[in-house]
Amino acid sequence: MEPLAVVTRDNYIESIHYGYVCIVNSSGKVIYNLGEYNTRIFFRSSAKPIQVIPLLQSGAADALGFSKKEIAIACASHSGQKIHQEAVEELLKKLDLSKDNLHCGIMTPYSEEENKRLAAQGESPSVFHCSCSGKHSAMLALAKFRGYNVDNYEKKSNPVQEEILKNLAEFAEAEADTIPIGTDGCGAPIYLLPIHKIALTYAKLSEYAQDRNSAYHQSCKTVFDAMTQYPEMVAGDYEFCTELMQATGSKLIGKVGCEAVYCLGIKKDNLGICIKIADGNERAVYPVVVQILRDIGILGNSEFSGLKHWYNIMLKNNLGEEIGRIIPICDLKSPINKQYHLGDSISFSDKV
Amino acid sequence: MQALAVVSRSSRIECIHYGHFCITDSDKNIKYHIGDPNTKIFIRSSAKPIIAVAFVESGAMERFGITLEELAIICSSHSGQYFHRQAVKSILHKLGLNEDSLLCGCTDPYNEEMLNLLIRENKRPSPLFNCCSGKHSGMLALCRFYGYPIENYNNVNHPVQKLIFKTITDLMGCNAEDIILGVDGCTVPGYMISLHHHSYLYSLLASGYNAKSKYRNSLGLINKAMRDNPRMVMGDGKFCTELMKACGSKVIGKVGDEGVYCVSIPEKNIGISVKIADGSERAIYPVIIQLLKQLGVLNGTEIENLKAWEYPIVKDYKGSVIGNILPVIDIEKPFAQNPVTGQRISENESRFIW
Repeated sequence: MEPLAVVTRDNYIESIHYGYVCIVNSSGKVIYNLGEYNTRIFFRSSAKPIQVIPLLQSGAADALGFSKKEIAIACASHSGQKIHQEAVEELLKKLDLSKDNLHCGIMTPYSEEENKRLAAQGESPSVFHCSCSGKHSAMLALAKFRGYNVDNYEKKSNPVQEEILKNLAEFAEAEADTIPIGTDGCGAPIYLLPIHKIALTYAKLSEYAQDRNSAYHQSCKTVFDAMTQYPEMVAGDYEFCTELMQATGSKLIGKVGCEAVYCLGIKKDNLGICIKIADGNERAVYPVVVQILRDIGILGNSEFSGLKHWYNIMLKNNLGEEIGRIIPICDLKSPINKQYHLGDSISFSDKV
Repeated sequence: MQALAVVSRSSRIECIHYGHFCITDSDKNIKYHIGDPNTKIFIRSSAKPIIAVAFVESGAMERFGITLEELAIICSSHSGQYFHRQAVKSILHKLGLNEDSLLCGCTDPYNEEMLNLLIRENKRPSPLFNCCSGKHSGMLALCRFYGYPIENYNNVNHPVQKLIFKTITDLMGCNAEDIILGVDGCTVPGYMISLHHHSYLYSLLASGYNAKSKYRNSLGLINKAMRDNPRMVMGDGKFCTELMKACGSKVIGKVGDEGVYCVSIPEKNIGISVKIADGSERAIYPVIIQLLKQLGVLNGTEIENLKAWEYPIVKDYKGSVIGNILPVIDIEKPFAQNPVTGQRISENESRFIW
């Protein structure tokens, strides 16, 4: 574990975020790492682009006539905007199912605007506001296509989940029965895997998306295209995943997971990246992702300038004046070259 | 860096919160600590009861007829409930001022009901809703008392801020250089001091009228105001208030932003300072309850009443319990545990098992 980002106040370190970074290629070779890459973490929502593959590989998505936009919402942790709600509703319609079939539970939407609209109109959020409702619809679709029980599709004993696990284990080059399974925020199974194995699933996704000879080519290409062509479906307005993919064209896919997980698949050199902030605070993820993409030469200058507000995130006081920043302090090329302590003075300009 | 709390999911460690704490008695002796007690932290809103010493000491309380309830709101990070706003309004009224003089800015109230009400009525919160409006009204009272201008009272060079700074250095028994000044979220000066000094200040508040300090009368009154009015110190359902209520105000608890927490324990004349390194507040609650338990401050019923804070529950969107936030500290053996994410952990009553 290494310090990855600091939060400053008046040029002093007020808080520190520790964590892990691992970058692998599609053969599983670790190219860069910060911290022990065998550390196991829950994959959380970053698993969604991998979890959707059986839907595509089985032929269910084609048979049910899913569009790329709908595949994008299946890979999403969406913010519950109108466009997201409608996409999920549309998906369910194609399955002849309704919101009652969704077992993801109800949460307040991430979209502040939608949240305020709900409060203002005295409405309660619905399952469509749940960030995982797209993933759950995709699971229902696979269950329906295969003729499995749709009433307990989210239980790990349902063959839908077995199929998803089997595929995920293959991408991670792990034995399915050795992967500890926990419960995600939306009630679906979630997998505990070493960080480098999680990175590997994204490296494979990137490779297969480009390798016409791969048996997974079409499925992985569809995931990549769906996420990069409909980034607004993957998270939402003002959200990091959306803005990152909007800024980088079709170069990469990026997906956040709860408790500060972030995964990236990069077409160039078929790289997969997994980041985990140990304390689970998402605010540290964004600057670290941008820093790493810069370090490995993926972000051009104009792409970087479009993402600057995610790089040295400005913190303001109640009058809107700048009082500090969230600054990435990780250096892939020379790990642990400097110690950081609370209360140390740090100059923001050092890192620009 | 030492782990203070972990977050579990399906009996595995998903997240780890590192941090420091220091427990000091009113003779400035360190009783227990994790991490370097000389580490400096911004003490944020935990400075409020200390800042209030300058106010009480001046005689402004008597001059303006400020009540103990109102003194408690001056020490608070309140949640913007009706009675909080009324208390601030009343102080301002006694000064011949209104909320327009407050320079704390406008922020959404912590109280969810109040926040929803504002949204439903499409209203912007007034400065009264700001959790720091009590502290600011105390600063304005000092300005009025000494005849200082009320404009720019938030500026570090304003005489009221210089007076507060001087009072804090006196209380700490330190030099001006030992305090690094910054700017707090509500625009007034913020203070960066060592965990040792921080916990010492809270031990003085714990001792109150018996403190070995020339400020003992002010410390005693602030101690009483906060303990008598726990709802004023934060608000219904909020940790500081719930902690004090659950134990009959046998301790004073005060939160600060970015993972800071302080406790005064009057019966032991000790003060606690905790800083979660990553700034997370969710880790604070279990750590504080665990420390109070291990120090023998809380009895069985009190611990039972505080269970929801000792092992806060992590739920899925349907409301099923899938994990907990668990304290992993042992004040007698600070380095006994070194948790790693992915590790198995199960919560079994008050013990955690690896």
